[in-house]
Amino acid sequence: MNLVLVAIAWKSLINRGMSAALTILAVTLAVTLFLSVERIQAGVRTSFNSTISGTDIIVGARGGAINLLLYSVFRLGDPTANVSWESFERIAQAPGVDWAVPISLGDSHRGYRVVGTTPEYFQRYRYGRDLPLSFRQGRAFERTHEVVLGSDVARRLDYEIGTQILLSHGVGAVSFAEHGGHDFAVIGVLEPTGTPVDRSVHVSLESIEAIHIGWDGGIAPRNPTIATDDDALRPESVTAAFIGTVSPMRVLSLQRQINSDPDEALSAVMPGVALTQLWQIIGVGEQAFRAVSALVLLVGLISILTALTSGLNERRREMAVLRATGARPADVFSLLVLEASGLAAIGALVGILLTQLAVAIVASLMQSRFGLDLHGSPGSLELGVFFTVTFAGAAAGTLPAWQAQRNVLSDGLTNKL
Amino acid sequence: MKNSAVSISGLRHSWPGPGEILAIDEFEIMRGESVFLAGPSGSGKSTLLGLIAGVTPVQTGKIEVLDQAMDPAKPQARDRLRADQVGMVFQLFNLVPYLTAAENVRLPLAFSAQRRADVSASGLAPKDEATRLLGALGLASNIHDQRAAELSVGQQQRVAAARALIGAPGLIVADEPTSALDEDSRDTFLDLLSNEARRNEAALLFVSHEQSLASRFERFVDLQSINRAGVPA
Repeated sequence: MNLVLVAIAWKSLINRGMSAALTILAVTLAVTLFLSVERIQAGVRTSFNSTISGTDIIVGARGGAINLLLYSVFRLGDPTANVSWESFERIAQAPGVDWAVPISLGDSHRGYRVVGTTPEYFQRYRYGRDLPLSFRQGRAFERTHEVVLGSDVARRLDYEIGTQILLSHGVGAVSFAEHGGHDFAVIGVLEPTGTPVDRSVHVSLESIEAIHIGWDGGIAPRNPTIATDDDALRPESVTAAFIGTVSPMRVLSLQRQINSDPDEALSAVMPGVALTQLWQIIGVGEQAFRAVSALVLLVGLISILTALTSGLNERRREMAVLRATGARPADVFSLLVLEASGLAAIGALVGILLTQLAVAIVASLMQSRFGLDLHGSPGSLELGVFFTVTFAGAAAGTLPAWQAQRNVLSDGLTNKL
Repeated sequence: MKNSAVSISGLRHSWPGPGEILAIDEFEIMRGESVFLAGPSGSGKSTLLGLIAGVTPVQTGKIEVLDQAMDPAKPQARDRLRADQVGMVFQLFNLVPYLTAAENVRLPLAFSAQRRADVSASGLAPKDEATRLLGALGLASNIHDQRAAELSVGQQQRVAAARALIGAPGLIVADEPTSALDEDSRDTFLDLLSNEARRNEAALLFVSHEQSLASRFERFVDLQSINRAGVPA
């Protein structure tokens, strides 16, 4: 490659400053969009796959792994059956089990699911890279009628410590069956996690029992009683349980043991496996996003084609001069391909830098608000995009280059215009 | 015949529309010779120059430049011969507008190893040779690094002449190079161009319709006297 041609191409681009800058801008924006989508998708995927971590096994009534995952972790859908308290205690004391946290679902507050659990939940639940839950305000519940809110619940409903709320029976956004007479006080608000915990309302298992005393088949009691007797508040069943084992070696045997429990039909799933299965179903949208941003990238490249082609006619003179001074038609061809790849390369480079800058600016906000981890230094993806865009730009340049080559051959030395 | 800069024999050329435009049996320019070629517009001057420069392939007959054939079957060989041996100056728009005067002058060196070699044999760097030529053509050094688009027409023509001369090609072809200039700068330009061509021992083919300039050249040729095309037999 003739280095002088590279220099000429560069000066030609600088000379057409505004037009070149606009073309570069188009490529830059396309590359930025593409990389941002990729980066966000990677963040979403990571965040999704680490919605729950540190838990080795989730136990629920016999059913599909994904269904169990959906209602126990994502708080979507409903369980088919419950797990008896006896079974829960048996599993919690089984050899190899380090800890067990039960959860009890079925109530809601203004569309947000209520999770009945034990205070240990706040120590054991992990998300992301083994991150624990932490309190932005207040503390964990210690007795009945205290409630800990996920960050979204507190923010959207504008609740703070001390706010009195009522829970509703069932999980609809509008419920007509309120647990009247049971005022709950907000005692704690969690930090954002980017997981369904943010949209959960946490109370103790005893609270769940307390508000259901006297209920019969979904019909509210006429005269709600406030029980305080601990024995009366012992749950008969829970919805599911999170289990931690003493060693990863024990997980498979424990899972087999629970799945073949002789007394109750139970399912034990490993959250990582179930999350991967679930992502395979919902990850289809990922491909659609990628296709759209790839199309935008294509449009950016076409703008290179447009810019160079539209400039060709006014450059016929310049090309004839180059030819008269000894340039071969192939040199004229190379010049335009070089200009096209120059535009593409600069656009890609600026786009990569812009994406890094944008990530640096919004990363901490995304982390705190949505629990999305966007951090990361440019790697093989950026390198791949840079070379792909540059080569695609060069390929796009062959069309105007071919046209210019035809022009110089037909124009000869005649200096028209 | 080892002494000619341009040698034409049995040349016939037609364009699809106007038909036959050139029919030259014999025409020769000796090495180092300066020739004034006169002819009104439409007489086939541009076609002839395109053929000599090897940009237009020869249809019938033979053209040799510095004893090498402008072979119609070998476009790349013609391109190399032009790059090595032919320096061209046009009436207008000679320069690449976004390059500086000095960069324009060095342009032929990018496409010809022979002209690069000639410059380095003189012991000068290409940049210094460009500076020397621009100076010899009367352009002050503050102009050398200005972009071509910013120069006056007279300055542009001198830059074009310096570019034609760099690397000492054997043939300088000038196509109406002075018609855009006023009388004073025309005379200066002509003197400088023919002096430098002589110093390089380059043949100079000067094409113009201004026959008053003919006296400055060694030989006067009227294109219509050698071109039989269109003349009733």
